[in-house]
Order: sequence, then C-alpha cells, then structure tokens
Amino acid sequence: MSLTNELVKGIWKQHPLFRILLGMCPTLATSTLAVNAIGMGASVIFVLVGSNLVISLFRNVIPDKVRIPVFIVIICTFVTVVDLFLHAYTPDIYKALGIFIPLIVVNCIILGRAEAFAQSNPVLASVMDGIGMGIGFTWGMLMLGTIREILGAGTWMGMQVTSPDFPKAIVMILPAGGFITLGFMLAGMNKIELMQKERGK
Amino acid sequence: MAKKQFSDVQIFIILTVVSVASAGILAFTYNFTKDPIAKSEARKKEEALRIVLPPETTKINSQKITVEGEEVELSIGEDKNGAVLGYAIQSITKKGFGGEIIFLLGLDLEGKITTYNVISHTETPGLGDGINSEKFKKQFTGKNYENFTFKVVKDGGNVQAITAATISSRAACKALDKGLKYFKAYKTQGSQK
Repeated sequence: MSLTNELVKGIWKQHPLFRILLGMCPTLATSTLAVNAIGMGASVIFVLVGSNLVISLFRNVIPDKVRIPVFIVIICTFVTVVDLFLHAYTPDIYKALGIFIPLIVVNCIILGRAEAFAQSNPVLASVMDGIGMGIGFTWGMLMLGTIREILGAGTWMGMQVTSPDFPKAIVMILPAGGFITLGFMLAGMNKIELMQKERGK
Repeated sequence: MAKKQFSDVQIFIILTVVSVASAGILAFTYNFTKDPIAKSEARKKEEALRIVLPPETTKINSQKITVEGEEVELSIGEDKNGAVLGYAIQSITKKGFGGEIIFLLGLDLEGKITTYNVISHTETPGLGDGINSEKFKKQFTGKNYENFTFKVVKDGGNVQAITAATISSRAACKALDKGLKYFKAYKTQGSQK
C-alpha cells in the first residue's frame, strides 16, 4: 500500500460519489450550479483532511464501542471551528462557503472515511485518503453541477453558454434532475469499468 | 483488527475527556472569534445598506420602529449637511419557496422604491433566486401604492413573475408591499409627533 495509492483511489476506483455512493444528500442538494462544486469541494477537502488526521492520531485511544459518538464529536468540533474562523477572518470566503459548511456535518463522506479508513490507518495515509476522496468528491460535484446547470439554466459558472432561445429543462435544477443526472453518471461509470475489465481479459 | 480492549470505566473517562476537550476548544474559539465576527457582520450590514441608499449618503442613522406590533429596522441616509437623502427598510417574509427571505428596500423621499436587495434567502438556485436579479428588480423602480399593485399578473397585479418561480415572485411582492406599509406607518407616526 503506497501513499500515492491512497490518494488516487478516491479519484476514480473508490470514487466517493459514483462508487461508494456516500454523501448523496448534500451532493444532490447543492449540485444545481457548477460553481457550488468549488465551494463545497474546498470545504469538504479541508474538513475531511482535518478529521481524518485527528481521528487517525487518536485511533489507539478511541474505544471501539463508543467510536461513532467520538467521531461525531470530533467532526462537529472541527466543522464549527472552521465555520467560526472563516466567519471572523475571511468574510468573503465565508459569504461564498457559509451555506455549505453546516452541510458538511451531515456529509456521510466524512464519517464514512473516519469509520472505513482513518480509524485503522496511520496518520499520513489517512491524510492522503482525505485529499483523494476530497478531490474525487469535487470533480464529481463539478460534473453533476455542469450538466445540471447547462441543461437547466443555460449557463456555466454563471456565464451564458447557450443561445438565449435554448429550451431550458427546468427539471434539471430541481431535485428530480439531480437524481436523473446522478443515475446517468453512475451508468456511465459502470460502463467504463466494464470496458476496462473486458480489455484486461 | 487487534484493537485494544477498554473497560467501562476507561470508556467513561475517554468519552468525558473527548467531550470536555471539544467543549473547551469550541468555547475558546467562540470567544476568540466573537469580536471579529461582530465587526464583520456590522460591516456587511453597512455595505448592504449602502447598496440601496443613494450613493451620496455619508451618514446612516438606524432606528427601530414598531408597526402593528412588529419591530422593524429603518435606516435613514443623510448627506454631510444632515439632509435626508433616502430610506432603507428591512422587510422579512416567510412565504418564500424555501422559507424566509430578508429584503432590504431602498426608498426615496416620496416613499417610492428606488431599488432593493435580497440579504438572505434559500430559494432554488437558478429559479427563485431570480428575485435578486436586476431584470426582476427593475420593474419596481419608482413604484409605490399609487402607481402599482404589488401582486403578480396572475393574481391581478402588475408584477411580471419569474418563469417557474411564481411562489418566489409572490413572496417578493408581499415583502415589498409590507416594506411600503412599514414606511407609511413610520411617516404617519412621525407627523403625529
């Protein structure tokens, strides 16, 4: 197990959104615009690396029986501290990310990685895992956001990219569009993997 | 996984330590960031007020007024000689598609809407958040009760609703209407004094 391996696996092979299907709720809710992916992605990477680091650091003193409450306390503390500091010292970033930060607490990717990885792996590997998963999450969000924003609002990153009389499919920025896009993305990922396997034979 | 076994007493101690440590960190961070947060909020509020008040405004006087049992914040923009240039009034509606929307209305001396700004909302991105777009805002410029009905066309008013966001548009109408009502009450209260 090399460190690069821990980093890369979250980007494709164990992609948090399209492979492990974690963190669906905030994903579907905030992937209406491509630009949200940047804000959400940045905050998730930050919190995920931080919580993985702390949990991995204390992994030998956290009793198995009560690990979930301990993880949750650590994650919530982390998120709240990040929230307060951003609010106090970087008002502009807070304005852009403010609405996403509370959503991170309920993002199962964080707890999922604490449970599946950080609690049983050394610190450096856990940090790599956090970065990789965070990047995977970000590009997944970016894909979903791009598809939904272009089809649903005719814009990308807030810029008009289609002709004004392009028929906007409003359903795409509503919850249903989130599920539809996610479904097609999952199917696409499965297809690519199947093709890779066949070529491998 | 060969994990260390812990006795109940140890688990009790560890949980207590984790909780106390977490509470301590939070309390410290909260105290440490309290003042900068208050400052940044105050600055944000002033910036929001400056958007809706005339650009020549040098001094902003904020006061609380009570209209029909509701407490409303009214800000008066004055130039350097103390002459009143315009008013800003906050109006909150809970009728948005996503819940609460906070509007800040800018009014001229005659009580006509100059512009407004949506301070906070949870409307659908790409649809309902159009209430904060210039295109939607423009139709309210220079409007008050005398020349405008603050209802969407569908409900017999003058407001062109945003496509597929009638609820958000209705909420905007309601909030602006309420803001004007507050202002009217303020004016009559003021003249009685």
